[in-house]
Amino acid sequence: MVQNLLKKARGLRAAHVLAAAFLLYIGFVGLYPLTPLLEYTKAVVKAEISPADYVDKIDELYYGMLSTEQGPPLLQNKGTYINLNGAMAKLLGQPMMNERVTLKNGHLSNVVSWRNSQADIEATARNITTLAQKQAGGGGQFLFVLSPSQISKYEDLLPTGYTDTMNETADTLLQLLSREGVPCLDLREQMHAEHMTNADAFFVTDHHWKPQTGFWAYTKILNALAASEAIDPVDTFYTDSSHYAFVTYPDTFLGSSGKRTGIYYAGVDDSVFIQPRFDTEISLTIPDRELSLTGRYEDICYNTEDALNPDHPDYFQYNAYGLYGWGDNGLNQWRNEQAPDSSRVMLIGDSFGNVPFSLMSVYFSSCDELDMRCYSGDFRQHYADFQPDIVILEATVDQAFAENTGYSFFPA
Amino acid sequence: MFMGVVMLFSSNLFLFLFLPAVLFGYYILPRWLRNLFLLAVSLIFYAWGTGEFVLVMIGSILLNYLAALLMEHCTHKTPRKLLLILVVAGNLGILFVYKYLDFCITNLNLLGFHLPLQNIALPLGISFFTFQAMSYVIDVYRGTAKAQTEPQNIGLYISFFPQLVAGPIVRYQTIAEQIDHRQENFDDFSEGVRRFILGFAKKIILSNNLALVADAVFSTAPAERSVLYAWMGALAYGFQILFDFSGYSDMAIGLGKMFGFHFPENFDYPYISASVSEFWRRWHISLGQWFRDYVYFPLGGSRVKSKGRLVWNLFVVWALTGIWHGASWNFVVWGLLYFVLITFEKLTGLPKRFSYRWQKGVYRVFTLLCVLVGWVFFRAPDLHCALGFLQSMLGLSGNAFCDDMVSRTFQQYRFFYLAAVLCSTPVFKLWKEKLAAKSSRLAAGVALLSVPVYGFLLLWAVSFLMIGSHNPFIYFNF
Repeated sequence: MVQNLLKKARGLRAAHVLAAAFLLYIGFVGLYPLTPLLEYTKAVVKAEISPADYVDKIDELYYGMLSTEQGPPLLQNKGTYINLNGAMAKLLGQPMMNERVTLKNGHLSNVVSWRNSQADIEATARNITTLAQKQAGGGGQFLFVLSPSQISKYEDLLPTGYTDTMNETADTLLQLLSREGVPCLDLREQMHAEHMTNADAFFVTDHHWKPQTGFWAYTKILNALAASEAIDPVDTFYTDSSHYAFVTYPDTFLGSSGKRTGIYYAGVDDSVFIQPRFDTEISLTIPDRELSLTGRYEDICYNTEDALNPDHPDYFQYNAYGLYGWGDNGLNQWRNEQAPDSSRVMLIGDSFGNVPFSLMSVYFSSCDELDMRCYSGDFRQHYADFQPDIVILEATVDQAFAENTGYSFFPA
Repeated sequence: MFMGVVMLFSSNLFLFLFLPAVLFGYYILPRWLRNLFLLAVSLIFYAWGTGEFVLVMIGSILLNYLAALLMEHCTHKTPRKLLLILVVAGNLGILFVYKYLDFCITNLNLLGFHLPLQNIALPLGISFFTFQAMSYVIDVYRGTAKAQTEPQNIGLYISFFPQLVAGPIVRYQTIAEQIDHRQENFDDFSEGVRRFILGFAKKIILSNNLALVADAVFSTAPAERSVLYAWMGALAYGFQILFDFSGYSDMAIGLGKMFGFHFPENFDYPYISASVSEFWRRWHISLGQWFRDYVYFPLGGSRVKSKGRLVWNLFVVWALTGIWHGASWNFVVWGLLYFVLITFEKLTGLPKRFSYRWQKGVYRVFTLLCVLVGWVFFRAPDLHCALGFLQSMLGLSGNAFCDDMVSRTFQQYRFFYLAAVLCSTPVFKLWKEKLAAKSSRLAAGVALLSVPVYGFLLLWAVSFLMIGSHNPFIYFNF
């Protein structure tokens, strides 16, 4: 029998090995979505879904068949294929992969080559101006904050043949706002004045700035408010970085762009968590999540549901940046009775606001943080109820025309 | 436009669900049930993307099955001929209604008629299965094949999923014996797997990536498209369509082998052709042979008394070849371009009359240029755009010679261009043969190396599917 087996094995050819491996592979991977497949099949047999729906569901199931979560074996994990594709793109020297461009500083970015129309820019400027005027009319303060993006206004970062129009568009918006007398803080100019490069300021694999840059932005916003006498001179105890710990877990974060390109195309980033070195007691309420927490800043600020496992980071699921302020929510309400400034501050912004806005809770006693992209309440009612002393509207260069700025705060 | 979500061979659904399930079902069934099983899964494969259009195919199967049986029982020449004319007209009628009716109405309306467009969706692969069906009844009429008495066998011949939607167009007499008496074995199966992976990789790695270049260049305005960028786009499309179609043919041939069928080759490195006539002996071979056997030869072929008749025969074949590819004037012009070139070669005897190597070399380049110009007509949405594109290639649209898009495209896609050039020549095949000729150990080494190489190509190609890359398929439109 052994001799027969040996004889057969000698007769095996490379092509046979390939065929056997192929069959094992397609069978092994193909069985991964077996449970939902059987459920759909049962449902169509029982006439609970139509054959057309069945076809659609199977199409959908097999289109996105693999999970990127840790757990599925190597060939059944989508992350393996993204990593392989990214490794090949890196090997072949491709500057673009899966709609992300490698900038000259090695960072990944989306590129916007189309232009916003002048009419769109003017409409957005009108929305912002109306909010600023309403606030001024009630005796309150307003500040529009423009956050930078991966594609710098001052650095030549785009590879040959790529163009991006977002900085030009943002410049036009700022000009229109200045003409209307709306107070603006252009953080691109602040970075330029302080010789900060985008390589310093941003994650490599994520479109957001690093938490350290978010901290820097927090201090700049406070300084800008103080300069316009919206608040008293800044209590520098709260803006001195030496009074905060920047807890760092090296190579544990793959950003939103990196999740499209894998860990070999542009590498991975560090996860950084900011913790005040002084006592804090803050409460945070997030109605969308039905969440109400009270405690130290570092105990309530970070989303603990998706916490980091530093020894085995789940690159394709875990989002270090998105932990700040529990990510993008319609409304975060921060209260801090120990805060040095008792102003009521309304913070409207996108995900770039997550870090500086959550830090505002250390400085102001009452902050309502709104992300109009997710907010489902009645803004005017909320504004009337909250009666903010200060409104800060933050937008990123490439999000300058998102729902946050395009939202009609006080329609004519 | 065809309807529905088509089950591409190069999709997760096909690779990881349909194929393993069909292979499993096929090999556990007794031999007498296998053809019926393949027919059933072929109809499911077709219905998956086209829904009720499967009825059109079933109608076509029944029409041709019954007609062939009748024809064989009919001993008189005239009714046999009449029956053939009727059934060919029936097949062409189906093709006309679904593919050409709106085209005709649009053109008649240009002449002053006011006929309403019917907006009839195009059943998937209708040109392929109609031509296969006609091949069957014509072969039975000619007596070169026997009529099938088993309807499932003729159904399988017309609808067999590997070559259903994109060929190769298999002649009935080529495959009749295999339908009834094929013998599957693991050697064939293994070769089928190798061939399938090769086609899968050609399609996803080369064709889909170069499609992105072609799409970008063809959608750029003529004045903004620099000369070099236009050439890069035309080249990209030339490679896209080669690896799209030959990749699909490789997959079809490979799948056929997995089930014990041996389909004829459909491509033979067409871009190394020394003449336009040779190009068409190497490109979409099964279509060329179909027109040769069922149109060109019956018209008299090249063995006609007058040159005028020869030119007429060529005109008919190439006009039909053009229009077969689609109901658009672009395809007619594309077909007629080949009519002009092949007529020129037939009448002048070129390039066979060339005696110097440089002359043959120049003509080879000329052939490639003609093919490339043809692809511009093939790819452009209309004649106006095609002419605009050619102007860009010649620098006549007020465009620059070179721009940043050239270096951007080169940097992003240089590997794919290089790989496409190499894979469109038999360089790897010759290298393998050379090594095999040197020693059997080297040959074994190369064979052994092919396992990880093909394995890697499969995984890399699948990785493109998993990240949801661009995955069109050109020949589904025909």
